[in-house]
Amino acid sequence: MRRLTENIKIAFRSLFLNKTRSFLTMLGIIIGVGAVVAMLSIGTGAQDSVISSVQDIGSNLIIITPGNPEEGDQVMGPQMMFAGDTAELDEEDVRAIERDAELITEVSPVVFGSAVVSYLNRNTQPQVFGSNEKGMQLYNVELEKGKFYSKGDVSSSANITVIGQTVVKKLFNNIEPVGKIIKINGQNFRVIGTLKSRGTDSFGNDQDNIITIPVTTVQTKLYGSSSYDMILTQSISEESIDEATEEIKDILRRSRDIRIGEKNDFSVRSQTQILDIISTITNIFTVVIAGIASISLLVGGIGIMNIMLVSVTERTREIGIRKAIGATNRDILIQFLVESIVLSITGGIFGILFAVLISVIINNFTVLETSISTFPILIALSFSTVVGLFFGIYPAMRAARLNPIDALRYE
Amino acid sequence: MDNDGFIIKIRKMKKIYSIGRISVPALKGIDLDIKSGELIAVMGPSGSGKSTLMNIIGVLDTPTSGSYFLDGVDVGKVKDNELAVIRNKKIGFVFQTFNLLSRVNLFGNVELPLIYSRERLRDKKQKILEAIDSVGLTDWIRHKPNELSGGEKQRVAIARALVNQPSIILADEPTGNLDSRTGEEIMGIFQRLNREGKTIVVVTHEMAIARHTRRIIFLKDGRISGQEMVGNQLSAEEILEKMPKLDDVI
Repeated sequence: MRRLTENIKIAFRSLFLNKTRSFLTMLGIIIGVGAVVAMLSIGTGAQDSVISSVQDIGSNLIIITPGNPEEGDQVMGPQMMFAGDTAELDEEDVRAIERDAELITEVSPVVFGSAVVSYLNRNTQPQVFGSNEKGMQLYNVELEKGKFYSKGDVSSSANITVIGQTVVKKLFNNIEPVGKIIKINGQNFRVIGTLKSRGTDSFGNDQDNIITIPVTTVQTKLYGSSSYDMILTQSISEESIDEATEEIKDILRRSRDIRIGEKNDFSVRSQTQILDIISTITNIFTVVIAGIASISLLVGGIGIMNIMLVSVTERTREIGIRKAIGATNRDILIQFLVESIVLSITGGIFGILFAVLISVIINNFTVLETSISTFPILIALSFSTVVGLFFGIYPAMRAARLNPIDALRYE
Repeated sequence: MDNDGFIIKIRKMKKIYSIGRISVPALKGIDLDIKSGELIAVMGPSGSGKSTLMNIIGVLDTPTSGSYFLDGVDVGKVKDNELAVIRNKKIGFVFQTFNLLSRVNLFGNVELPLIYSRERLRDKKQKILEAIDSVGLTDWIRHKPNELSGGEKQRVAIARALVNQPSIILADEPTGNLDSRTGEEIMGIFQRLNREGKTIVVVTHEMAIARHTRRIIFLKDGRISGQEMVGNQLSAEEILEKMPKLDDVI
């Protein structure tokens, strides 16, 4: 134990003696460890914020989309939710759910799009969110001023809209927007309310750059289509969410005349299932990062081995002296092994500090959120220890095997 | 075993170096006994085998044949790791080129043998300070070797050789890199240590140095060609007194 502390002291002394060289050697490990920890912190941060924004959408939400990528083409990622397929969702489906579902409280069809919106000489191009009167409630969006459109407005395809804060800022500079007439794709719409700010989502998208319009108006007057991009529903309770999902599947199979044995041409997903998909994606991300990181740690390790071999040669005489004085082969082996481990652990610690710095910068200067957890730090540290051990063994063995007489004569 | 007061007993020792297919005999049959408490010199021209003999006596190397008993231990039958223990416990080396660790201060250099000593030492620091004191370098304890003169470096090396209280001190051309006055000083330290009971073997090619010891072994071509009991042993103290001091010269 005493000799171990002695060895650690020797190791630090020789690291400090060749500061530049030690730093350059550690750079591989610093970059490797720094990259893993930083990327994982970005990954975890993104995962956290995606999850919280999914949870933000509204509780007990069930989302029905056309097409069925899970049982058809293997599409991964966000497209999974909107995979275009020939099958479409329409009014029939909404009616069937409203009529037959017992475990569902609210239903709203949704159409997405974008449109050019103008007021006087100002214009902007926000996202269009077409829904019925329940849409905002399902989506957990709150009103700031005015009111939301009513069931009557939806059935009469009224030219009215509720606008988000970004649109308010861009079109109405200090002017009260509620009651004003704006043009959407050239048609007159009356602003009846404004939405509370929701900030940016986890992908950096501005969630306030949005206008909501009755879905019927969007279909007939803006895009001229009869299908929906998705149907939002809400189960009556958290416990019944899986049952409600199954119920909707049954109802839609019946209403869409899908025979037994045939695949669904639509998808029904609850929030929990979406969260599962997200974690699958982030896990793949993690594995890829780990792969890249292990390559850079490998390269860093080779750097350590290289410099340790140089160090053994340089210190041949020192090894000779130590051996003449009574150091065993094992003493020398341990001395150099400790040195390479100290080198790689120091690199690992610098790498972690580097990653923390990066993640703080990203947190403060970009829309991405990062979160540093202890797990990747521990993994990175133990990994760099193993690298030091593994790549230190060969040089240390060369040092240990030196013949003391030859070593003493070495100039 | 009974070592009859002999700390070193060498019988028919041969050492042959093989370089590729060529065999070079360095020692061709040496018989040598050294008593405990002796101060002895080994002399010979270069290539006579004195360095090889020194390395074998110092357990840095093993003989090709023959036997070597050091303090009753048959060194030929000892494994590598135990050889390191013998070097640590029984032998104190003093080299011509000092062989100090340049990055470590004086204290650390003298401490070195104790680091590799397997025993737990309670009075370790005391031992180091005593060894440094016995060569008169207490004031330099935190200095590094490159801040010292050649003679001072050699004194550090002697302190390092002493610190583990070995049975024998081996000095390989200890004055070879020093001026005559400093060399005298070093020999004075050896003579004093010998009076205190230490066994000391000095390898040298200078008769003037060898005459400080009590017995001189002459080596030639890998054999002992003769030995001489020194009648009028030189005293380093007396010589130093007669030498002009640095102050007188200036």
